[in-house]
Amino acid sequence: MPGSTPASAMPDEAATGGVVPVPAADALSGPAPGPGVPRAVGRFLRRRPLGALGVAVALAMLAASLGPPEPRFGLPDLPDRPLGFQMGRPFLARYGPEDFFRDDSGRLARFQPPSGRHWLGTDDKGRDVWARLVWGTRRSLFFALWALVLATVGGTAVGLASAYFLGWVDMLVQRLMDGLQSFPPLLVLMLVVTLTEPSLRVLAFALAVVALPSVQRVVRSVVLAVREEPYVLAARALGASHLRTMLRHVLPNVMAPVLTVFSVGLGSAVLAEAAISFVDPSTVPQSASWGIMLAEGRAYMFEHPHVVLAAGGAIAGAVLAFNLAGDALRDVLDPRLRVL
Amino acid sequence: MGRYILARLLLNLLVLLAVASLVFLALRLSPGGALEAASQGVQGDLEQARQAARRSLGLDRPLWEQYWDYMSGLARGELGDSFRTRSPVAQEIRERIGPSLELGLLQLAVALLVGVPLGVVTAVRRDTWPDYVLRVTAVLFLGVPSFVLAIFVLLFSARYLGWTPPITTYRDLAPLPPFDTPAPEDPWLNLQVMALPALIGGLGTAAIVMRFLRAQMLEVLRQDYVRMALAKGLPGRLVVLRHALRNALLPVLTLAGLALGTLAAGNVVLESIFLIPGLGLYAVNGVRQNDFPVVQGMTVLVASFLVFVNLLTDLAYAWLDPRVRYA
Repeated sequence: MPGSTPASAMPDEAATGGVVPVPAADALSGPAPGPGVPRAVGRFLRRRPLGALGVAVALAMLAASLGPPEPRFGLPDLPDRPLGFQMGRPFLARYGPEDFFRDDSGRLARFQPPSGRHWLGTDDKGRDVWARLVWGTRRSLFFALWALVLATVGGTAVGLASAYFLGWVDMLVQRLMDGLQSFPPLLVLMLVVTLTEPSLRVLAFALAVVALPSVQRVVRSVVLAVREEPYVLAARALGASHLRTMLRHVLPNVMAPVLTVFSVGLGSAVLAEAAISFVDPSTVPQSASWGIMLAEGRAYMFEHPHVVLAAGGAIAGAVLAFNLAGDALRDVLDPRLRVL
Repeated sequence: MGRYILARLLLNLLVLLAVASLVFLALRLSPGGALEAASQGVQGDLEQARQAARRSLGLDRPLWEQYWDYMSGLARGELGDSFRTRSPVAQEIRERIGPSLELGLLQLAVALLVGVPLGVVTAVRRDTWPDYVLRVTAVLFLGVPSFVLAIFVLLFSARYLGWTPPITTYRDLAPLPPFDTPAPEDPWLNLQVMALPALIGGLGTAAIVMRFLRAQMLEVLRQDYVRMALAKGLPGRLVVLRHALRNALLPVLTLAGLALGTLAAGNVVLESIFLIPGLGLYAVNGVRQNDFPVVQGMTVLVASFLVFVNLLTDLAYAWLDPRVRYA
């Protein structure tokens, strides 16, 4: 989270900049969030308990992946510099992902049961399972966020333009998207990483490209309906340019499905990273990953199941949480889309 | 309609051409890995070994010549020879497509056999406790990825229920490497190998089918013609199955088509857990070993399958629903 909000700032204050809005300005900027936001949150909690649970798990993941900022800046990179500054050891992890431990007699502390020192025990290399799980959360979450932000921004732009202009633009763009979609996704992702460099950043970009067609398809289908609305014609008649019409009059009306696609997509992105790391742990081996833990734990899962249970539980829990949150978000934001 | 099909077929051909060219170029941009793999284990001068590998793999020829070879081969249905095994990729794919196809079709069968009845039940018994229980279960199955589910099933059956070995795999049938046994002829044995992976892979899709069908059914059950059918005294069962389900199933068809498309690639994850020598593992190993012809062949194969299935789905849609017309 960039910056920090004072604990006293309520969501409604934050949304209006903490200043009581002048009525006239308020009228211009549309309906103010006002005191309705906490009430809406309360209603969400009551009506969508499962969705709220999903949101809570997602927030817990975010909390688990945060660490103290270090004064080292640079191009954003995954997993430890997702926002442009280096993040240190996650607050929730007491050890590094590769730290290994020895028992009292000096031997490698392999397969220790859960204890006060190692909350989830240790793995075959004497590493702390809980610490690796927390580091893996950072990798998983920021990977998913990166890929989905890129895919959503790109997909929205493409879908918006394609449906707004229709005609040969639409024809061309859609066939291009068909072509993009006919690549087998897992194969493409692994191929890109093998051919370039084994980095999460490259993998996230590749996933964004692979996911873009589905995002733009949803956006396009909604824009097709919105573009026929009288207010779009009115905007054009008043002399608004195509760009202005698209951004100010069409885009705001497709934000609900865009947000829904984003939140559901996060689950799929977490899944994709876990699946690739599981199938071939050497794809991006640099940091602790749930998929890698699952793959490594398989070798000794019948004797020491705690590693696969922890990693598998984390993957399933995260995907489930994002699905629940996405479902609830869709119901709240856009009842028309409830069909799925 | 004829013109539409023709146009789509031509476009599909273009898409496939583009896909094939793109993969070809992407691989040729960084041939280092392939040379590395081919010159591995060679004693002596590494640079010399790399040169020899480049020559023997045909990577020293001009790009356009390689491209022409590859494209004209495609037109004849040839996919080139694998860099690693030196045998034709088309033949290797033919040997491995059986298990993948079988696993995929079984998964789809599980998805439909489980998903469709449950979708109908949840829609008809809307907001009763079976509906709630089934919907929550469906969300659970959606959230648990098949490879996690597979590992948990294996773990629990072996450790807590005491089944050891928990399942029969291909490796049990041929306990010596290279493990590429053909599918067992005996249908009973075959089913034993495939049942668990098909069930585990299919249940996730079943959950999607169920949720989708439920929403469609609710939509259709609100329609006037359903009320009409009930009003004229048709038994409710008949109305649900004949009038409602038939129309609600249409969008599920698209879903099934998409599922069929993805299964053409082989289910990498299930194949690797259950040691099924199918196309998914073949493709992944091709990528790992920088085996260009294998990667090219698999990409083109999957792409053609996908565009073909998409076209079929659209046509079936138009055929089943007279309201859908393609200009």
